[in-house]
Amino acid sequence: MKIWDMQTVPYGWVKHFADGTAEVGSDEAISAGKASWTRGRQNGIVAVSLSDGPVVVYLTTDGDDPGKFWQSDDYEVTFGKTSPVLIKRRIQLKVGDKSWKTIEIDTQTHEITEYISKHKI
Amino acid sequence: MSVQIIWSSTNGGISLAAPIDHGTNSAGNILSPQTLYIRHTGVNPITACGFYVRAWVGSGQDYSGDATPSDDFNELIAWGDAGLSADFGGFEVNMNAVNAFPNASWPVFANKNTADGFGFTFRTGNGSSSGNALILKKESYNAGGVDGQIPAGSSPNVRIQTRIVIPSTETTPGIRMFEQVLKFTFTS
Repeated sequence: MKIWDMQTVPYGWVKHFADGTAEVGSDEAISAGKASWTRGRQNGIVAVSLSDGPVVVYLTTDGDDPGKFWQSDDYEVTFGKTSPVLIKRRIQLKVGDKSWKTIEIDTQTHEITEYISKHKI
Repeated sequence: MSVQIIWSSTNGGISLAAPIDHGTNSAGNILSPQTLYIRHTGVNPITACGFYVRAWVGSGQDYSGDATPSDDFNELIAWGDAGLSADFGGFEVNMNAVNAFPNASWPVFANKNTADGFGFTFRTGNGSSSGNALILKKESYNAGGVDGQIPAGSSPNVRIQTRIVIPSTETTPGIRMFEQVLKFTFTS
């Protein structure tokens, strides 16, 4: 899938499926309980866009074959506070049997980091 | 916000909003351990949970110590780093809740991280920054759990104890303030 064909949201992720459909996980929808990465569709994902304001990253499979994607966020919260601060947004694509291609957006600096991890998810 | 963290003083209790007051004592004493309960509202487990300390930021609550946030933080870490027993002290955590926080799980100068793996002194390289946060032990809630993870709807809640050790050689009285941070990863 070409990135110019992909949807984005201002803050959050969009799953793009091999059948041409998409699933939107904006921060607002997730907070309202109307979207969830794990409770949404998991099969047939060919690409994901991940946004944090002006910064957008894309992760796609080679070709249009679906891959195994995962999305997670890092938070921090100090004692006495209930609302954590979002530190990093992350999108991952499984590569081979054990490795994951990972792209992270630092929400404070908007620095983008890309690497291959071998951590089990 | 898709997940919120609730810190309380009892299992399932109301959220604590005020700083923990570890109390007052003189040099060479250990302040009474404080028990913290932690749970979250997420639909999935939170993972990669770890603790670290940092200088007081406040986020709505002004610093009210007797020095500066950075002085307090640097002093706290120096107490943990101390190379002499008389200078040793600082902020300690005991994560051995399933065994009722035994003495063997409290750090001492000779074992700044306890031999049983459940007690830690916050110091340089050990909970002094986000990059070296102390990973939550599963024994803080269930020996059959997973290190670093707090399950959704967990009951009993995660329980940890923390305490302050005042070095014997400390000569400056006053209120110190610092922040204890929980870092974690969450998938919606």
